[in-house]
Amino acid sequence: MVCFNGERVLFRYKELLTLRRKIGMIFQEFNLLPNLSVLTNVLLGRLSYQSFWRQPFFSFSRADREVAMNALHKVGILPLARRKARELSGGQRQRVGIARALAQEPILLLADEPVSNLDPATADKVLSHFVSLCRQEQLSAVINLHSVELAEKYCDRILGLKRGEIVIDVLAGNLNERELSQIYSEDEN
Amino acid sequence: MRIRKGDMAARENKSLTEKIISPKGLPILSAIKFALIIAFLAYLVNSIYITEFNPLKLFRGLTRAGGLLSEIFSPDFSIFWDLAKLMNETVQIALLGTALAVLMSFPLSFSGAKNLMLRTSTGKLVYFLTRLLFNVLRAFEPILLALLFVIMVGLGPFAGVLALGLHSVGMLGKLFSEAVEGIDRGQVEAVTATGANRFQIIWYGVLTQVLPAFLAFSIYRWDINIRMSIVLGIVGAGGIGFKLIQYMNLLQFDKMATAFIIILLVVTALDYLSAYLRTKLGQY
Repeated sequence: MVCFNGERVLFRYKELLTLRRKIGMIFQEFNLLPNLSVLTNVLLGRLSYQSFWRQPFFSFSRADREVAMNALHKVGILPLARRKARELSGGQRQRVGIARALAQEPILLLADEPVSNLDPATADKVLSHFVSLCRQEQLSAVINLHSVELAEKYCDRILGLKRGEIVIDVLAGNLNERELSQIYSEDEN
Repeated sequence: MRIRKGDMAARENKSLTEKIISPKGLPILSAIKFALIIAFLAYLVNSIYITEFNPLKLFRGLTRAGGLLSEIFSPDFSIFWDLAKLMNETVQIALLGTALAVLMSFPLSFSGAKNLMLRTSTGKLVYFLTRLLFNVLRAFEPILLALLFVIMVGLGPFAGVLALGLHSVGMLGKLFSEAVEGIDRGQVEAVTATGANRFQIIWYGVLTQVLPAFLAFSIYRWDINIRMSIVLGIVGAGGIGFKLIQYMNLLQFDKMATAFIIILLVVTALDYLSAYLRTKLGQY
């Protein structure tokens, strides 16, 4: 059984669309559309708001475009709006990915290894920007990270999973070495 | 105790060798292969007799063609503009035929793509029928279709358009479908994750990825269809080919030469144009 916001999810088509709009997703591989401009990529986050007759024409209302531009401004790459997504660097690409998720005006963000495809310095910058954005917008985010260091530095609550079970559930700063080593230890039996 | 992987592999290997090698130790599989290769070579040699292949005949024919060659090298330019008009007709037959084919293959390219269709049983049926249609249409050579349409709609360019259009649906549909099958799942997933509906997922997640390839294939098909529509003229389906076969039958080789020159010029020019456009699209 899957619940969201206290309601049971029934996986009906219409319900799923609304749910997907409410939950923004940020991907490890960024998953941008390389042939489209940065702005259009962010506008994809407005697809669920797009009126019927605009759909075939890649056309978005003025309000939608403003939301998208605003999202680009928040992630700090508004000047790149007209560039093609394929021309961007890795860090910039993930910022577009974050802007796309923000444009959905979600109530929850999911991020799957959002910075593991970036070099350490960029990863740190992008993640810190992302987390401060979430605080500013009062958005919850569930982030999946392999770097314990980054998790401790930026997250409020840390969950440790092992074989699908939660084995650690602590507030940041309360992580202890023994429990951690238990997750990462290879067991041969 | 677990059985180690290496042992398992060795055992499987052994049983496999036992299967292939007969009790006497003769490898059956390679014996069959050897027989097949011999049979193929025999068939190849046999085609020399069947096709009456004879290089001597070609040499003797060359001397006989001397008169023809001298006429070919003195083309009759008085009919140049009339023939140019007909060449234009040929190009337009190909253009309209290709355009019709693109329109028809566009929706079929999605119903003929494995990655989109194989999830439901109705989807599987539609996929199967679409692929069957592509195969059937490709099996009919344009010249056969042209003969059929000449009977149906009469002599003239319209028959050529229909023949090229129908055959091209088979070819373009297959190429388009394969382009759709080669898309990046991640981009589709990203569009889906925004809450987009089914139409939006196809339009934004799939179409944006395949459109450059679709355009490149269409231009390439037009290029091929121009050359094909010349041949179609020979069976009466309009264009310059129709005149060409007429000159050939009346032994008017000087006029035929003019037609050849026009064909050569236009086909080469459009070949370059098509290649240039496709490079611009970043495809091949």
